[in-house]
Amino acid sequence: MTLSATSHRARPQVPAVPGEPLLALRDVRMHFPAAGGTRAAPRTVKAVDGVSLTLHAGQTLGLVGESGCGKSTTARLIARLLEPTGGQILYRGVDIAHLSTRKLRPYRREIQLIFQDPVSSLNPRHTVGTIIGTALRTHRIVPPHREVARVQELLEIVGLDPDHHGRYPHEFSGGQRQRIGIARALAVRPKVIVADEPVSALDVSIQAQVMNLLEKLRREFGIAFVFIAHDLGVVRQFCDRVAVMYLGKVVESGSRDALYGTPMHPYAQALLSAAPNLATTRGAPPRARIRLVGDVPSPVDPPTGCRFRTRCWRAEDRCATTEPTLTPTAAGLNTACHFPERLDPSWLEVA
Amino acid sequence: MDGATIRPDLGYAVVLAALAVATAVLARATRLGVGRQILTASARAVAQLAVVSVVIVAVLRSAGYTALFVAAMLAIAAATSARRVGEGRPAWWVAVPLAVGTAPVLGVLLATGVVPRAPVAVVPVAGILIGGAMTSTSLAGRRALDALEDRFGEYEAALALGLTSRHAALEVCRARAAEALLPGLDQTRTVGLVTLPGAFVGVLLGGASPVEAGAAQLLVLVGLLAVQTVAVAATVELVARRRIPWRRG
Repeated sequence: MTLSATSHRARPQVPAVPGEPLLALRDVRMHFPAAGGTRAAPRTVKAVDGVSLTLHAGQTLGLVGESGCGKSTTARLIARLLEPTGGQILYRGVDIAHLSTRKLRPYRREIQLIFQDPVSSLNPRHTVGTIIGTALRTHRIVPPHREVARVQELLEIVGLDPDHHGRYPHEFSGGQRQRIGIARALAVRPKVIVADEPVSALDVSIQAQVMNLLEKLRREFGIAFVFIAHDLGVVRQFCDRVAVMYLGKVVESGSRDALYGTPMHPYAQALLSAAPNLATTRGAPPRARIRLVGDVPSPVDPPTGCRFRTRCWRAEDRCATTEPTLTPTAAGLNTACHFPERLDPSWLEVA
Repeated sequence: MDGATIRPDLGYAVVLAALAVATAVLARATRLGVGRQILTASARAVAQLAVVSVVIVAVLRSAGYTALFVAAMLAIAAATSARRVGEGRPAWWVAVPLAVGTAPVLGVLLATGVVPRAPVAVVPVAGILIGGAMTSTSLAGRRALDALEDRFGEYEAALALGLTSRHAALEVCRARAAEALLPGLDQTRTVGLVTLPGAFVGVLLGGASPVEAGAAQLLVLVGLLAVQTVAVAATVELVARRRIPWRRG
């Protein structure tokens, strides 16, 4: 299947600063107003609180962390469904963080989203052809008489029967619906796809098929991915680089091999370590048992200093006063921790 | 018509109270969760109609009082709708659909003299129209907000494709909100066959001929459709523009 460029209206050129990465987040913040505040002292949910990430063309960046850590908000910020309350979102070196709806339009073709729940993101009253066709029409990607043909091409690319373009979403299975969502995202020929837990809602047997499809898209079309998941196994299989988020911040990021091989941040280690009683069964000292106690603190009122200190077994006084910043700790790895420490690899039972 | 009117005597009171209590018991037994509301709504209705019965005579004697009375109807309808739609914090913008729905229709009916410009005609017609606007505004607002909640992913997908926020929201909530018009539509479609609504019965009991009663009813039904359509359209627009605040996003 080829995507012929000739059938498309000339793509509106988005400006680019030479040498800049495809996408970069610089100290991005998203604070939502929270209940219980006053005008003088407003309370905010610090869903994303100073996140910096870089994505190069054709690359895949995994974003992992517990639910509520700000992954999905980050996804929506990258796709500019939300306007950040601070920081920069650079697309090819140009800050798109505060562009108006009209000025954002060309960027809507560059960056697309795939959602966790394909059901809630597909209009049940529209046929698949209409759903995908909306994307084509919004950006006038093909002339009207070519629309059906293009929809059929897209359906074929994502592994669906092209003749099913007249069917409704409910006539498809969960995995097929996710493919429809992917076809819609592909319709505008994006350079970046932000996939927010794209396979979490699917059966395990279907997950692999959808992952293979995403892998194919990256290979054949050179699409860069920001891939959000809590399943570390899926991220390891798909992503070149991985960032671990905790309470609105990136606590560790680096190449896949570095992060899965020698994680230095205690939270990353905890995520990567397997069953809670693993340490005891292998006779490890109790000090280093990786079982996180307590809940994630409230993002309305995060802990001072290092946010992870309230659940960290390595925390010392300094962690409460000084916030650690991302600094190189091992080859290809940046860690935000005052006490980065390599762990006995036998404890890391990677999913 | 002596034998055909409803008399508020002791038997009446007993039957009415028994009916309300039985309804509340049924609502509770079937766990519909509105048992208490049925009782309080019934009690309120008793009190309110008692008061209105007393003041209506005075109101109907003066055009000024009538205007005041209609304004009060509108304000109370707005407050009711605002609470229903807002859940927690009242969505005061719903006053707009109520006003833009009711005012032009009532204005046309009065200006053309189709409805006599007499308080005794204005008050019931205004009441029916405002009441209809209130129901459809509440329903449309709630349904639009429900749709945006259930199908937020669709809204986001449309945004990501480059639709404006308003347009994306309209795609998601318009059809659902339009269902608020169905009761009114069905009432009009089945009038005379299934329903003999209040205006018809009222005019008939008042001593007019069946044809006059029918004409009055027809005016009310068509006027009601106009009012509700405008109210629903305005409500959807206010939701799409986030004047009526969403529950999320």
